[in-house]
Amino acid sequence: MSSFLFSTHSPSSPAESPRLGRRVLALLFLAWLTWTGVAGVGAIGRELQGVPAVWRMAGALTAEGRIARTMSTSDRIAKLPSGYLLSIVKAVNEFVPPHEDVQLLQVPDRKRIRALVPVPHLTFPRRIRADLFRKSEDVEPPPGTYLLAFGDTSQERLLANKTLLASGADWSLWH
Amino acid sequence: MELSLLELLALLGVPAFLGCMLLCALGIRARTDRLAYPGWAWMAGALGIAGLETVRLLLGMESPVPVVGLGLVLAAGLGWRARARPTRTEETEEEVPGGRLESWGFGLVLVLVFALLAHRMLSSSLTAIVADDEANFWSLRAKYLYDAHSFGGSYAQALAQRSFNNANYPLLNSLLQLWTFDCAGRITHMANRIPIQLCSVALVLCTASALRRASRPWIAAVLLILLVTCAPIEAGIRRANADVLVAFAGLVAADAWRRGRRSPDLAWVGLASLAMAFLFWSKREGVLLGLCGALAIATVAWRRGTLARPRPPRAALPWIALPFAVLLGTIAHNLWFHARGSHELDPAILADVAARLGDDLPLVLRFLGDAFVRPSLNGIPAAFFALALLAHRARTGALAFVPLACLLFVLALIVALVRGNTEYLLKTACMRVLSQLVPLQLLWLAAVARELLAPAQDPDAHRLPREARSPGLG
Repeated sequence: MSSFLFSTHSPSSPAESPRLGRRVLALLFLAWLTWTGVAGVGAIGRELQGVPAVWRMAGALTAEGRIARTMSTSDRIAKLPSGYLLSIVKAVNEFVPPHEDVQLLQVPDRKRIRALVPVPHLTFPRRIRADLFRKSEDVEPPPGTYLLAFGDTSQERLLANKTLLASGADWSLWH
Repeated sequence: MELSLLELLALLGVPAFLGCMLLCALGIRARTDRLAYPGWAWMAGALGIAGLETVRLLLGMESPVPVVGLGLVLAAGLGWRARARPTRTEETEEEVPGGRLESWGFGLVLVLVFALLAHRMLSSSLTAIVADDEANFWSLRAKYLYDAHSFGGSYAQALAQRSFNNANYPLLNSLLQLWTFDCAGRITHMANRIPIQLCSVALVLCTASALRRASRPWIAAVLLILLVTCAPIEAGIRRANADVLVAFAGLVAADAWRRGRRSPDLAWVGLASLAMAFLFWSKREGVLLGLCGALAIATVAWRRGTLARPRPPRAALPWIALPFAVLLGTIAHNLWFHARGSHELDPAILADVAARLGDDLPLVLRFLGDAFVRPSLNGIPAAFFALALLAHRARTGALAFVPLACLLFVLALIVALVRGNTEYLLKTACMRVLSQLVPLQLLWLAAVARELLAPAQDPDAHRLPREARSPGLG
């Protein structure tokens, strides 16, 4: 390869110009390969530095621990108190039978709805719905509906005939 | 661990056995290519298990055991019948020789890359599937299928109520996750990534083997490093998305095409057909890539006057029918359930494409130009398209269709991006879709590098017959 790249033969004739072009291309290709290859090895090295921590954590965490860790990350991203989302998941799984719908009530804002997105993935086949009644005073939920209410629920007309099943930081589960 | 050892054995062992038997029926055994064989076997096995799950869902059976058991017996029978078939060995192409040090270096890089993959798999197993596409439709659809035990019940209801996005996407990913739920006997939240992650491992195995056959060991090693350090490919092994399935099947199809070009026997035609079926069942971009590849191959063959040859053997016809069956199955599913995607191709919008081009094309082209050179793709598309334009050698050999196929794919991508929701699609999907081409582009780059870096030819070489001058790319 070195004889090909560093030949002293000068491209004097037109027939040799394609060879020159090929050498320039080859040199550029080698330069790109070297540059990205070295950067790639560096990236792999940096990534593999995390191996001990990941192995330690993988050895220590059970499946439940991993789910708790995931939900704790979601709490942090949504700026919610630690354990907030996991407590909702646990309450729904414990008190709501499979295939039942849970209606959201008095959700403070759209940010909270976004924060709740991970919950239904862990409560399947129970479904969390925010679409049946947007304003609580407009529509009566069907009897037997499970409600996940947020904030102060003391004045909430829809909860008058419901039983409190579980509650957390600013949420309560009703049936 | 979310799965017991026995559950894990079933999850991996059943598809692996199915895959080995299917390959055996094609005359492909481990000694055909020791590096790529586990990857091919996983691909064939994943297809097999997804096919059996489909049958079980169509029959509405609560347990997959009878259908999978029958499938295993049939596969074993197929393998037993084919035992006398001569093993397909690599007659047309050996690995490109390299020095001992180079070969050791390649081996070392392979070990390093597998350590990295294991690390990424383990690291992703610490996080439950609760966000992004992997949760919002791939995994959610698998959960509905598991709950319904059929294509009716809660699955049909969820489709009718549009409970998840992109309901018209092909089913392979979700069927593989369904297999995990079946092995566990319950819905899992991490382990269902495993069958998809193993497609990433298979991708690396098959790419490594293809690169080694296309180029010298040190070039193959560097290109392999570029593959695994591509950001979207890295994300592919951490999440249960389907982009890596497209990349994997595209690579295997092109590699099988390259191997079988000179002797299109049952082994390579069958393997290419399996890869095409996998491609069509993985994602809609898979169908697009398959169509672009077929069109490019036909164009190159037409230009060379070789369109009518070589013909595949008669025994390969059932295998060739497989991708079409998968495609028809997906179309039938979408028609039956009126399944629609979030990015539907609206004819009204298409008619307006010319007007939209003026508005959005500069934005899309700027993004693509930036993406081609961006470090997250390691500048692979830029190097690929630059060499495709400048290197004369790019237009010869078995892989000459790759630049045209990639160009068609990118043009189709531009149309898809321009037709609406442009900024959102650029932000969320474009890099992932471009990464589906990366293994194919690396294979082509390896073949070009082999030609480009070969010692200079004799000045009189142009007088020799074409075949004697150069073996051609790939």
